[in-house]
Amino acid sequence: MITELFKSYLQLSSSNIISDEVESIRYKDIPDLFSIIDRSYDVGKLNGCMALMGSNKISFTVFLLYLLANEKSFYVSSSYSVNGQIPSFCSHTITIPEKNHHVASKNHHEVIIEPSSDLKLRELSAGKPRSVYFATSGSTGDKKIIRYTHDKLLQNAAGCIDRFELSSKCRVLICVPAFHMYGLGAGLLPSLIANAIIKIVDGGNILKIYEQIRKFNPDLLYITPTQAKMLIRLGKDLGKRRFICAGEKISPQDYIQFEERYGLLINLYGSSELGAVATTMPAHTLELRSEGVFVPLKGVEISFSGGGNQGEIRCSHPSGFEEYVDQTGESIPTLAIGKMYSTKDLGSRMGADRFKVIGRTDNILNRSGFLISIEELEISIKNHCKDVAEVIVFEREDEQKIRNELIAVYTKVNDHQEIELSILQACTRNLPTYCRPDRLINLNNLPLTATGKPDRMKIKKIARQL
Amino acid sequence: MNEIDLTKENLKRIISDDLGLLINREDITDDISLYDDGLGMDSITIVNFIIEIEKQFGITIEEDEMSASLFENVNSLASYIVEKQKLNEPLK
Repeated sequence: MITELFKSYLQLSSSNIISDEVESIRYKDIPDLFSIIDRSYDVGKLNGCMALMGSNKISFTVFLLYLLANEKSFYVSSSYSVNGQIPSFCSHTITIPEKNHHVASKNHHEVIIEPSSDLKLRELSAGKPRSVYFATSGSTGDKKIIRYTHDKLLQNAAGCIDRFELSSKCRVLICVPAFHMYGLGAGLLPSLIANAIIKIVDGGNILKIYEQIRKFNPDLLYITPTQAKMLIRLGKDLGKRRFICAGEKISPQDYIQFEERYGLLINLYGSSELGAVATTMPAHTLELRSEGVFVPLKGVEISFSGGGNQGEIRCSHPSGFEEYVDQTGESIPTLAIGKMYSTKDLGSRMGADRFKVIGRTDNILNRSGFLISIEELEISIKNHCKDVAEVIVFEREDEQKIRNELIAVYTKVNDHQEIELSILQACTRNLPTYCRPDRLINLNNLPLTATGKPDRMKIKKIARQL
Repeated sequence: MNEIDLTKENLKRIISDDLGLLINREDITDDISLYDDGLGMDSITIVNFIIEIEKQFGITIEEDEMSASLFENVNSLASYIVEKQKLNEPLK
């Protein structure tokens, strides 16, 4: 059964191709694949919430569409999640084997659907509203589970189509995890709704991205800031294309360098809770785009705490999430400010319909009465000291001291070079006194979250132990 | 030592000495995978490796030559580099 809601977004009649690195299917093959899933697994009869193990594979895409089409409750899980715990309100787990699984070739018996061992929880799960659940990345705090209705999730994805100029003529290469809100809600689902020709690849290997750009010849790519930086460093010629990038801020210098070589870079501002919120605009000048001046998507309203032109960014989204839930599926109360969602990002208005993100409010420090954005400071240190590969700055609270220590944890471009002195000199020359780190800590690698962002919590913990 | 063996030794030296990895030279066999199922090089390390190879062997890896299989192991890379260097030699 395919619900009317699903049909109103996805037609599944196009002859366009969706592919991963090993198999490909046509849109119009998908209803037949739904029948195979029905016959083989009886998923249609299951009423609980299913945990669907995410992967950048066609088999994941087909199961995801099946669950959406049948308005089933499901939790989209990251297959390589560090804390890959499945919430206890999930009644079944759908696991898709990592290697060479061909859903299109009907070799579908390899997909494993396991019931939860706890019968009570399975019953409890059946009583929950039909929803789609995601886990937040937890890069700046505790991991939370986010609940979307099917309608809102599809509406959210459809809202990206115009802004990204997606159509059935587009060739879209998705190099980011297609099971997080960025890759799924702003990448895979909008591309599917637009009937685009889609290729999903494992973006963990930059060489695979190169290969796919050559072979698939995409006109639109979804990438991460890290991938953008790697492409800049390699500096090869790939022809000009359009790129969408979401995540941590790209410095203006990197932005300009990237565009010179690879084509238009559209920065996306969003979150797991709201999906896509705003983007930089191709029609704006390079200066505005590289400085990260965003324009909200249609229907999205932005305001700032205190009602002025600067403060914490508050956002009203026509198709945002419903609520946070805990591991058992119970609602976590949040402080709602009308219909506005507090993003925890600090921003400022740049005109009637424009705004700029300064940084996370929990990444804003008050140093000697000056407010400084940690993200801006990190970019500044990297710009002034080219031997620094990555740097994470934080304040260490110390009751014994009058002022908290400012710690900079860094990795080096070349591990054999001693650069502590040159960082200190660069900071002294270029940064005001209140921005200069009190202590530098060198690590070989920074621990990352499941989504590939630096895991600030872990980095702080490591630094505390040193 | 022939050209291929010399190139393999140089590649192993770059991996163990120049990329900031905690890998001993003796653990790098000719056919061990450079990726997760072997030496565990991530994308950033591969990018640094490419830059070092181009610098130290005096070659340019063209866009259409970049592939995951080229960087499969020391064997595949050494064959490629030796071929590439021959092509770069001036005609006698």
